[in-house]
Amino acid sequence: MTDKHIIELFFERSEEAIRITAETYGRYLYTIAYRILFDNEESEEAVNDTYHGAWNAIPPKQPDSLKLFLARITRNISLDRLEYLLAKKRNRDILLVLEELEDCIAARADIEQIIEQQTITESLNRFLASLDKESRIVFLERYWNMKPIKTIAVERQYSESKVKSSLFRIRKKLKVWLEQEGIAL
Amino acid sequence: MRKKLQLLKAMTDIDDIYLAELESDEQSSVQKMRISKPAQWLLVALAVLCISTAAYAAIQWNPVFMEWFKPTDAIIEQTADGVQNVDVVSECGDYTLRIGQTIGDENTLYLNLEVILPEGVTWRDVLPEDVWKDKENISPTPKFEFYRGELTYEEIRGLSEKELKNFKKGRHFSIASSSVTYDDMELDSNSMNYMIRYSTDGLTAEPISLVISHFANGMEPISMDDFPLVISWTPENSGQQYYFSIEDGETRGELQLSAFCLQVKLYRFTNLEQYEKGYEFAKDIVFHMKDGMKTSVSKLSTGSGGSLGRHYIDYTYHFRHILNLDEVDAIQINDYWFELD
Repeated sequence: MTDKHIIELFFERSEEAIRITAETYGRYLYTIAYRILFDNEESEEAVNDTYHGAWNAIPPKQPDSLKLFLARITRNISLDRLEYLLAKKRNRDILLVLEELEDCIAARADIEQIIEQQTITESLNRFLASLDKESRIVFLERYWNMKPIKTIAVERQYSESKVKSSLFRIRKKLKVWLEQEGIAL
Repeated sequence: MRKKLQLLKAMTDIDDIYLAELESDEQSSVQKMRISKPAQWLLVALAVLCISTAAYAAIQWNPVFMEWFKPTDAIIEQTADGVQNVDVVSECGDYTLRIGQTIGDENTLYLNLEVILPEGVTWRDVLPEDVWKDKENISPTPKFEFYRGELTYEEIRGLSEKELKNFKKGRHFSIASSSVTYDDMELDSNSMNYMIRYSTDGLTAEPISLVISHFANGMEPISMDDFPLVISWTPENSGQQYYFSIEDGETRGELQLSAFCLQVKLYRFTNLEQYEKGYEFAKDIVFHMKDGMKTSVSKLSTGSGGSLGRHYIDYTYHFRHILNLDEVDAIQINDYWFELD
């Protein structure tokens, strides 16, 4: 069944929409959640909340890509849940991702009070456009898909060292980019 | 942490075109992987073959140790059990630690540690600018300690110096002596070689972990991301050891001689003044060689490291070159003689 048909089921308020969404995208969404939360139960809950979120959002929303629409909901729910879990320091793998990003934001910048998330997203879009395709993909594999460096290396047939080096340079560029855009003080 | 989370959250809403690009690329890379699988199996088979062959080859000294010790054939033969090809690599964030070979025995270890940055990243990129700016040569020294048992990077990642100290309880090796040497750092390279020496009791038979808490330039600590770093392995080095004891009224002590060092432990010295007296007692140590020559320990060694315990003092004299024990006839401390059989 195509995305268009599934979205039609949402519009008809048919519960089949949830069942088919789970069949089609459940595994994909679970992977996204698990790479952030590293916990089976928490990830399953995040995926179920995603279906609930999609049910509430469609209609009125009519996403072009249902897959990306659902992925964003899962990612947002998982990151929100992560905030709670981080207080207990239960997730070391995601801590690694966060530690890597530390360089990109100046410590003294109190950006959450000054810059809206939307502004950062827009800046990130411009930053991604400035990268070559290969760098962009490696960066997003790590920080959007949250894939382990080893997995990225295997999939792209690179050495782990090359992936690390590439990420290192992109993070440096991002730091400068965000500073220039007034996001880091 | 919240700022970084905010960055990740902001990333969630990036334009669809980038995510579509990512998705289409993922599909093509899955196909690539499927095609290349037989080739990967072949590589694995070749690697296994190479490792099996290597296991039967005699252990060669690595060039760093050859240069450092300049061993004679007799020394190479004598220390055959003291050389271990460790070949362990530890990934710690952006840093890779590698120990290829170690030389030593149950109480002294020399190891050649490489600290490697990712390809294309140089030390100039990772060291704070104020460390290297306007300086031709710098020498960041790793500050390290040894722990019993295997420690993973996951366990200690992000721990502060204070938190790291809690790890010491029950697992930290007390230091008899340690040293680290290195060349001046090439700022535009991505690796650094260190020669580390460590002496203590009972280094063999269980895994040990080398933890680098930070780098220091002179006395100044250098703040670095990803620290502390750790690498673990199980030492299998062994070598000939001689033990002697002194029992003479008030004077009591022990000597332990290996090809790498002489340790002298004297009892009933419990304060600094007695420590000085003990040093006077122990400093005139003479090695009598089988060919009739005699040499003072100060000429053989790079100096002594001492420590003051509650009821004893000890000194460790590390030899400049590995000592051929077959050539030593006896050791003399003042009026005490100890013959090697």
